[in-house]
Amino acid sequence: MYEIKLLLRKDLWILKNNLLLILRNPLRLIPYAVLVGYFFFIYSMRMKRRDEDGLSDQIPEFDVHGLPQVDFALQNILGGITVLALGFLIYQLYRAT
Amino acid sequence: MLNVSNLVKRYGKQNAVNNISFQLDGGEVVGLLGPNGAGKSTTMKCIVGLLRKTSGEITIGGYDHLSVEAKKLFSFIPETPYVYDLLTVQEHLQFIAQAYGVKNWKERGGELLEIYDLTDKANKLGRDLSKGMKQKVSICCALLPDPQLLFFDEPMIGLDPKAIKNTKRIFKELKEAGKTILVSTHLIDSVETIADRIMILKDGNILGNDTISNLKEQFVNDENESLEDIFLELTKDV
Repeated sequence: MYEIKLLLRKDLWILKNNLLLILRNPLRLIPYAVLVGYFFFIYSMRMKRRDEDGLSDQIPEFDVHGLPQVDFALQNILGGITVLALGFLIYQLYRAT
Repeated sequence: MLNVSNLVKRYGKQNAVNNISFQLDGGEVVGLLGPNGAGKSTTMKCIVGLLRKTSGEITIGGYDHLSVEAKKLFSFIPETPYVYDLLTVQEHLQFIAQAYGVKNWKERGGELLEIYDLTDKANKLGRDLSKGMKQKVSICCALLPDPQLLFFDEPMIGLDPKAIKNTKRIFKELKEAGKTILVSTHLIDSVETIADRIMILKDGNILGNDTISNLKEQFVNDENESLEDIFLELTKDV
C-alpha cells in the first residue's frame, strides 16, 4: 500500500510540474484548444442539422430503389481530411507533452 | 556482504557471464576492470536484479539478491543515468528518501547537492539537465539512503573533471566509513588508489581477482609496471 501511495505522490508531482509548464507557456494549450474546438464544431453542426430536419419535415431524396442518395466520393474525401486532421492534432499533442 | 557463486548469464547461445564466483567482504572496495563486452555491466545488472540470471546464486548480506531485505542494503548507479523528465532534482531526492524511509533527508540531500554543484539546480526538471548533471543526480540519489553496499557502473562517464575528483573523494570517504563498493570502470587510475582488490574480466570469465600487489607478483616481472600494464597483459588477445 505504501508503494502505491509513493508512486501516486510521484505522479502528482509530475502532474503539478506539467501544469506549471503549461502555465509558463500557455501556447502549449493551442493543440488542446483546437481539438476541443473541432469536436464542438462537429457536435454543433450535427445538432443544427437535426433541428433543421425536424423543423422542415421534408421527405429525403430517394433514388429509384427507394433508398436515400449518398455521395460516397464526398464522404470519402471528408473522412480522409478528418483522419489527416486528427493525425496532425494528435501529433501536435504528442509534441507538446 | 556480497556472495556470487556460479553466475551464468546467457544471451541466446552466447554466454555473457561464464560461471563466475566471487565475494566481497564488508568494507572492501573492489574494482571490476575489463575491455568492452567483457561482461562487467551484465554481471552488475544480474547482481542488482535488473537482468535475470540464467543460473547461479547471489546473496547480499545473507539475503537473496532479489529480496526486499537485500535491496535495502545496496544502491546501484547505472552507466546511463535515468531520471524522471518531469521531476525536479529536489523531488528526486524526496522520492528516494521516502522510498527508503530516510529521515532528515533534507540536510543530507543539501550536502550532496552542494558537493555535486547542484544546489542552484535543485528546482530544475530532469529533462532540462545535461547527461553529466543527470549522472550527478543519480549518484546523489544512490548516496542518500546511506547504503552498506554500492555498485557503480562506469561512474565517471559523462562527469566533468571536478565531479570526477569529487566522486573519487566520495569513494575514499565511503571506504573510510566502512562501505562495500564494487566499481566497474575503464578508467584504471580511478580505482587504482582506492581499490583493495581488482577483478579483471574478459569474455565473461574472471582472469584475475586479487590485490594489486599480488596481481603484480603473478603477472609482471618489472616492479615499476602499473595496474594498466597488468590489465593489458591479462586482456591481450593471444
